[in-house]
Amino acid sequence: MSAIAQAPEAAGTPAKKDKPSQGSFRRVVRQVLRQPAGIFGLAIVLLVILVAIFAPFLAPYKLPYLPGQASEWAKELGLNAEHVPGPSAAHPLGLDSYGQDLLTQIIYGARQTIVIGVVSTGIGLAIGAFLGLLAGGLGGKIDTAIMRLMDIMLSIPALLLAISIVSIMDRSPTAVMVAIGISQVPIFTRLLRGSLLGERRRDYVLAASSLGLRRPAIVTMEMMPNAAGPLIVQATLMLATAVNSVAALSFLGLSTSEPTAAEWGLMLVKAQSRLGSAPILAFAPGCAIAITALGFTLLGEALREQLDPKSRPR
Amino acid sequence: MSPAPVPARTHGDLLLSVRDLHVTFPGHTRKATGTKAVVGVSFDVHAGEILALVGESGCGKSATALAVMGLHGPDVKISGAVEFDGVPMVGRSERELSRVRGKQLSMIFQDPLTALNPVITVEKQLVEVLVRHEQLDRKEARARSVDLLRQVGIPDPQKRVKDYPHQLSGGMRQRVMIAIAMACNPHLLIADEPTTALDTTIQAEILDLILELATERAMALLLITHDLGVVAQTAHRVAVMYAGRIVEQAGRYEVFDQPRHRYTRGLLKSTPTLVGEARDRLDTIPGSAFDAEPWDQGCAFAPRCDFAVPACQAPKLDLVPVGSGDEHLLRCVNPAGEEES
Amino acid sequence: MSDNLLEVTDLTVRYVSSRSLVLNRPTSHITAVDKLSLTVPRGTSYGLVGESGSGKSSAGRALLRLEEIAGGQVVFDGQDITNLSGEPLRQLRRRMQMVFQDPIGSLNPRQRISTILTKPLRVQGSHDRRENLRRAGEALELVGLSKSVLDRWPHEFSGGQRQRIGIARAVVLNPELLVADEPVSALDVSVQAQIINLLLDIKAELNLTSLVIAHNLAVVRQLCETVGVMYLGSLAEEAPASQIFSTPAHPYTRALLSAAPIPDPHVEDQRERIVLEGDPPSPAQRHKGCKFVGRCALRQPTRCADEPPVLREIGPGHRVACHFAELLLDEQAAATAHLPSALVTPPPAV
Repeated sequence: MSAIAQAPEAAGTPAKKDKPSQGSFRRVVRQVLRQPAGIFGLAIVLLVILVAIFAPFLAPYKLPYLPGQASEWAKELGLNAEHVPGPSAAHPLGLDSYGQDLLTQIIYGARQTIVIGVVSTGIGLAIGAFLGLLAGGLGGKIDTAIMRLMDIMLSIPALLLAISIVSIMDRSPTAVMVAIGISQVPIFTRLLRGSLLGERRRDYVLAASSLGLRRPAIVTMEMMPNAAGPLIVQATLMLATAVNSVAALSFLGLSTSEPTAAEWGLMLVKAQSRLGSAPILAFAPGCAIAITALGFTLLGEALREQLDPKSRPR
Repeated sequence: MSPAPVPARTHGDLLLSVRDLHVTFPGHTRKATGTKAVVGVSFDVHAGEILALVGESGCGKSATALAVMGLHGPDVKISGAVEFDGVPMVGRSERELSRVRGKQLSMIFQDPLTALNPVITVEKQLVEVLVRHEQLDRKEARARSVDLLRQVGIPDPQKRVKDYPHQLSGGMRQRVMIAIAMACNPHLLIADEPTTALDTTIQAEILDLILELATERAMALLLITHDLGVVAQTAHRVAVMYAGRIVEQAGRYEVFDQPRHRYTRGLLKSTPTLVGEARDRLDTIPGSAFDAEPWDQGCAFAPRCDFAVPACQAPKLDLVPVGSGDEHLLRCVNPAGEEES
Repeated sequence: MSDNLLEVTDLTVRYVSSRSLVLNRPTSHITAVDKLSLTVPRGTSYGLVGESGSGKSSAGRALLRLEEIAGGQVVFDGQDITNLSGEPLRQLRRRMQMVFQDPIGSLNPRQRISTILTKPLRVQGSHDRRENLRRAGEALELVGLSKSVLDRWPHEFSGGQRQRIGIARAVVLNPELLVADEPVSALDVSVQAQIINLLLDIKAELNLTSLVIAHNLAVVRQLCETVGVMYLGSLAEEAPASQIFSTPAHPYTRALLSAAPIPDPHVEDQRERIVLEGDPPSPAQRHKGCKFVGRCALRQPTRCADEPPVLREIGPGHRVACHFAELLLDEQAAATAHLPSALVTPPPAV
């Protein structure tokens, strides 16, 4: 083959030289960091993750306590249900009614929250994306069946759905994760199906079929990378919801029966009866939940700016 | 069909005057200086005249039109003078502008589906304009709406007036847009690619309609288009834009018969046509306007021009009259001769 | 080896236009392509023109087997491919490729140019990476780009450059048939000319047979030897390009030609346009007689409304679906004797 066509457009010098190559993880991070919301969100999320990882080093005391140890302390310090000592040098946030250091519990609580949040959102994302892929990629009767099922699931309030799942399964952190995950499924399914349907109309999909690519290959290899952006954004936002849901389920006493477990939602429950005398018992875990949720939300919104073309003004 | 002869011009007929218009869009980041869409555009439109602004995408023709209408957002920087009917438009408040817009000055857009409000009936959209500018009461306005639809050639106007935009075909929607724009007998209509989204046969009808209405009402028309065929059909005068500037401006016949700017000439030669001998190959302009150079270092077209000379790097390139009259303006240091075409 | 690379007989394509609420079952159809028949001889270029809704794109996709075929037959190089599936269909894909209208949407934004251009080779079973890259580079040079763009992303290019990449993808497999669906309509005038020339060059260089789908008559005139005009799913007229623009025999073709703007004010001054009545009817509508009857200025009271005109030969290679084509040609010859070709003044309505 010879170059017969005169090459009028300057032999393919790319037109926009200043733009870095798209598709790299680094580019997304750089773009996210350009927005104040992105910086704050990422900072909070990283902080929470670091705290969770290094909890044993950061916390002034070790968890878990040996059985009975806490009540021994309580006796030593002369604590009772009515009297909880406030902050002191040894205990910056004070003690709870079991005599446990509040700061230590908050720090260890980050672990629970992150793990439950990530795993449950992971479950929701995995099942939701799989169903969305089937529905949006295959269409037809499978699509109809899946979408009707999702409609039914969506018509039940998420918390109610989660509560029923937990009560079926037994109260345990695993049940909470599965419950929250499943309640998120319809959101991911609908989202991915929607963006796949949007991609389906674009010519590159037709181009791929004209090359002889098979349908499953087109959906997973060609369309999926383009449709996945909104999914990642939604997952980040759902992490915030999951953090709240974990707290809510714990608050309702559905996550664990261990009263001394370091879990923010559970800490709120325990603080309930002492709101008047020791508001810090509720305030500290409340803040922790709110800040973590805020972090994921901000990060999600910043990611949306970059990854979800539909929300971009252009 | 050809445009009606231009009415004899007198000094008082000057309707729109644009002088040294600059439009700069904000950059994506704080550091970037922003995109210069229009770089010093000047032109006049006289009463009853049809001026076509022609150019490829990104040449600034639409940005010019929006600046005249005062429709750019607040973060778009606009400088220069735009005078409509002797009254300056740049720097006027939104309130004052909205009194002029839709009354003496109207605009129609490329895509009538997005330019019409999808949740409001045709009638309500028309009535809204009539009540605001013509001080009609609702009943009169409704009667006028039906009348207007009839004038723009919509069959069965009593029925169609109750329709929502999506219930109409593309051609009918553009007719409704025109009816709304014509509602108050504007002195100047700006039409931004009014037929680009339409099929060939519908395009012809809509162009005829616009020409007919313009002639009938002695309305001036500023036509923004990329299609030289549409220009040949409609314009009295033509201004060719490239990278934010007018590079050549002349009467309709002169632009097509004796284009002097290399870009104008290149555009004409690269357009396939239905008349004349079939050509084996089309003449082309190398490169694309997509990566046009800015005007700071001489002619922005020079990198794509086969006839570029060192003088093209001159920092100041003015739009100057060529030939006998002052009708034909040109911004080029090495123009094509009058005879070679 | 047959002389005709592509033979399409009575091709019909239907779309579902509405579905039931709960079960999503199709409840009604529209016929986008209605018994279209055409033949493309090897090495020639066929232009399919029509307005939106004429079914020209659906036809192009259906004959590449990218759209479900509801009826009729597509024969490619002597082989009936209407019901081909699986591996044989994949083998066939190598021989027929497509160029798309939208230079932005037709390249996957998440793939580098190298991936986009070597994918066709890999799908067709060539897994030697170096060899694939070499062929991709060759294809790029053929379309006037340099090999060095291989590791770039689609968004780094202008519309014209992207269209060149799209063409490179189509020719990298060395196909025999190239279907180009509105290949230049999304491009600027000056770039349009470059791509038209490129298509002409490539066609000659690779000895391609091509089907060009376009709404712009002048583009088709530049690119094709034979032109078919579609109206509501079927051919209204088909003729060699030299004939159809000078002596159109179908009233719709005449209206279309008279409506196309011509970049010459002197020509425009003399022209008179044939105005069609009303809008094109919806494809969902059923027609007893001629589909064009509602908008035709030359319709005859009963015959046109009752009897559907068949596509019949009125001259060498000139086929038309109108009962009164001869009448039209005679009047036209009389009326336009003094005018340059393609400047057709309409005879008074019969």
